[in-house]
Amino acid sequence: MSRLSANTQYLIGISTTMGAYAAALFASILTLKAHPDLAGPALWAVAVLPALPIGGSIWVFLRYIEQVDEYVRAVTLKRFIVATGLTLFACTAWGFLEENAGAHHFSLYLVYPVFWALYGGASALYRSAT
Amino acid sequence: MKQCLRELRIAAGLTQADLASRLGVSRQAVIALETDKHIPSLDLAYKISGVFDKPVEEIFENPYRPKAA
Repeated sequence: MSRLSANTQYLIGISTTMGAYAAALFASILTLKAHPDLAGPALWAVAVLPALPIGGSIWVFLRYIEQVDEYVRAVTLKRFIVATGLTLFACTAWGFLEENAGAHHFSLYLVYPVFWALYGGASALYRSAT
Repeated sequence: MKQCLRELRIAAGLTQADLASRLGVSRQAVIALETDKHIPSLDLAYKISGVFDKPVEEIFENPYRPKAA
């Protein structure tokens, strides 16, 4: 069992995955610019590269939820569920606006920062689990 | 859920941090318990009962038990 607190492990994990995200993003963009003829599985692999550390950051967050005490877990899960619901609603609503009202098209990778922005909002609203 | 955790803690000469340490939870959790913002799990209720050496129902009022006439 690790001696580091759940908060410390979370900070280390998030810093690592965000650092990896920045590196993967630059590597992906530079590779795609240097090799515009890239195609097939190689293109897919390079294009999806920045998403992998994002998956890692979600794993770090889920591990944090498992490590904290029951009160912090209850509050964090409530915020997570509210943010997930709001993100699903916002994305669905925007999809209909795009389809039926000519609203601007946004790339799906923006769903991740939108989720965390809404998680921030949920954290301000829900200070306890009750 | 009505409880007398704060009174018991003060009577035992414990700070919120002391109690949190004994229970293996955060100080936030102790504050939430004392202010009725968190209903503890059975496991945590038993831990609290162990710290103060009192039955759970002496610390947390059972709202479902019929009151004596």
